[in-house]
Amino acid sequence: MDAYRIRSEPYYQSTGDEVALFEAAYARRLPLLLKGPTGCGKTRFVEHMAWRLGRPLVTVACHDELSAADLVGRWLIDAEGTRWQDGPLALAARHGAICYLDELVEARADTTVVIHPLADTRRVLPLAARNELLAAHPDFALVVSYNPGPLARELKPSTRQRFCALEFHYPAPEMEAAIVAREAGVSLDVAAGIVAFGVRTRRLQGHGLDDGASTRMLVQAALLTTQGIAPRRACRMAVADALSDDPGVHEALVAALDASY
Amino acid sequence: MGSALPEPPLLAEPGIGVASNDSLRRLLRALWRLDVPVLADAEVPHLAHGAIRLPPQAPAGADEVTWRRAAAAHAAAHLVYSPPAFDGRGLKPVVRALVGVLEDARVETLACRELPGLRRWWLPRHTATPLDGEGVEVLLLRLARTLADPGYDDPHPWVRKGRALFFLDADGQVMAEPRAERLRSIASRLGHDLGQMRLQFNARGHRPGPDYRDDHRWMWPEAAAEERAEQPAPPPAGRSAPEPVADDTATPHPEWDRLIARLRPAWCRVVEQPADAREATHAPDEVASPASLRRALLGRRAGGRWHNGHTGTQLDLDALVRARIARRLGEPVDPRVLRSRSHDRRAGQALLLVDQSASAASAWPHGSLSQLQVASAWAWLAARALAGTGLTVAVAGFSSAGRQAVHWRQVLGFGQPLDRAAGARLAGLASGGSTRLGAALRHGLRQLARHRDGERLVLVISDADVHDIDVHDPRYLVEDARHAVRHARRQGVRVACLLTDGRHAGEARRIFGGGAVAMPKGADELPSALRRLVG
Repeated sequence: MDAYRIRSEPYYQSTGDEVALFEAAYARRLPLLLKGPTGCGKTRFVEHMAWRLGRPLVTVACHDELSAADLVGRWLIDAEGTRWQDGPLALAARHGAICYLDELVEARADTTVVIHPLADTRRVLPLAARNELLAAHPDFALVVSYNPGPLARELKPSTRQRFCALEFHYPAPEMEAAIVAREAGVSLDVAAGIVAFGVRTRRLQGHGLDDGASTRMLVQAALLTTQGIAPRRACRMAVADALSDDPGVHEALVAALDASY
Repeated sequence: MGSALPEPPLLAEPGIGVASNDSLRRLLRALWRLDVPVLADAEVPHLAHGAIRLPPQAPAGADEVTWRRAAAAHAAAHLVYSPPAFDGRGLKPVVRALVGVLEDARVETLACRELPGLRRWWLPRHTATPLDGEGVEVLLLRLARTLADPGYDDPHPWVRKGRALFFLDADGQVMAEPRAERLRSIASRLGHDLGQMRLQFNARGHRPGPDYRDDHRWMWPEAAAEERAEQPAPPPAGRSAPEPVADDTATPHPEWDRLIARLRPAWCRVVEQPADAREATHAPDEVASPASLRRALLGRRAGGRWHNGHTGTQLDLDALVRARIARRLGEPVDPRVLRSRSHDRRAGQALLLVDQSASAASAWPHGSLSQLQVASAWAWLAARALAGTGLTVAVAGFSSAGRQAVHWRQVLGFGQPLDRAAGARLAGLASGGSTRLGAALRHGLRQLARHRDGERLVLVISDADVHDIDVHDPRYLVEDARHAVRHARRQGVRVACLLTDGRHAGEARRIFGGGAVAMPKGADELPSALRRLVG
């Protein structure tokens, strides 16, 4: 599992008591659901907590073709014959890692159901194809993320009710500017300007945009400025042009950017 | 570090964008979180009835897009930074005009601190120079320019005095009186000087300049009261409905009101009627073969009954034996020993909604048929193809005549045979009425809600020209339909649209999302469109 260990501290700026809450939930091995808009720092938070708790982290980006076998494992063939290959969920459960299922709601409903026995007091994973009932390692914990946007599918109640939830939002502008400055290595002034534009795009959420600019996008814009691109051009490339193809919305975004610099 | 790249202008080229009322409204929301309608129905820019009113066209010589943005942003800056009104009692007309110039400069200075780029929109419209003369009107424009443009140095002592009274510093950064109510004293002093210069001011013909600035009627409500009395109150933006009599047999549905951002409960009533049959006047089967469509709709799924590969749910014993033999013979081993269940049959329900509003009678842009005929043909082909994949299919037409009379014509119910009679009912759909898409979608969703097994999808075939006789706000029904689509998707229902006309493609994308809209231009494009939307 060494490959899944996080060697150095991933930068994460706490915005509230989420670190203490995660630690409390982990202490009792309660499954956690991280809710929040895309690019607000959920994945980084999990990496940071895995490092903090000294646990390996197995991350799965869920998608609508993800099958239960992709999570649990499957038989493969090699020179000696057939060989069982643990899937990421079985791997984490067997060796006591934190298993992070990113955007769980994207996975097919039948796939989500396989996590149920792991996410309640049973803490087991049935490997039907191998005729094994895998009891989770005492250090194993399950964390899933979910972006509850207006277009998002909803989690089934039977899945949702197995989790404690931590809600994430974009940080306050001053804090977000500090994060962007730290992540991209730009001055606080440059970062503040980029964040101010990012905040403007978020006002269009529900008015043509499903999501405004994420912190991740703003960091990317800031990174472009370190390559000599002017902040206005960088925001156009990393934010305005990337956010929307709808002509009316794109036009408003570009005009708002023009007004911002 | 790379070398510094020259920064190309973002909006310098005239004609980027169209600065539509909607995009201006979004712009103001992004800049200041303002939610204010922008209308293009005025002679001069002004603020009235809670809306920013602009002329339909920019003044001659001005770039349309930049000018409209400049005008909207200036008016919006008043809404953000100005008090609701000024007390004009006891003020001479010229002092009022001066308060107006100073207040314009004050809000623009505040706005530019937050949004420095606005200066590029406003400054090019300030063109007054000493060559224009020294009348009061020109001096007011020169004062406006010197207050707006730190780089402009006007030689006139009165203009310079105005600048010195307004700004504490030479760079025009620090205002002497940042509060609006204190501008009156500066205006009085400047007005007194104009009086000393014996200059005449024609208050009646005065219009604040430059041309992108609003006419300040909001500043002096007592003066504007007479004008308001002459104008009838405009109808509310969303609805001014003559209330038709409700039909008790109809199904009530809520409707999303974007202005109050809430669902109005039981706002619309959908009346179900059986569709009349008529012999088809066009031959839909010749447009594209159902088999090719069915293949298109299944093509994304695994092809054979069993699919062998590196991934899968079960070991394939035959493949294992072959692998074992190959290994003993020293030949390369095919590692594809897993097999997965094929998905060559689909399970669930598909609802096809045909827009039969009056606009559907117009000609299809890519052929000689009417849009309704094309929509019916597509619905027939899609219904047969979807049924061929294993889905249960229903087809309905819809139109409306106000919110209390949304008509739903059931062509084919779930479980009914997709036979010649159904084809005749589909061909019998007649055009007429309006398009209240949101109500139709909610009614369709209610029908689908009875079936919760397998996939559920709704395919709308329409020109996306959503409107109704009792709605005057062009965005109202678009937003309602968009809300209905989002609600459906939250319920796990896929919703997509086949467009019969590209004129309202923007609305269609707004309602359904760009990825859920297709506009086949001919029969050969229908399979790929269907595959993308509902495959």
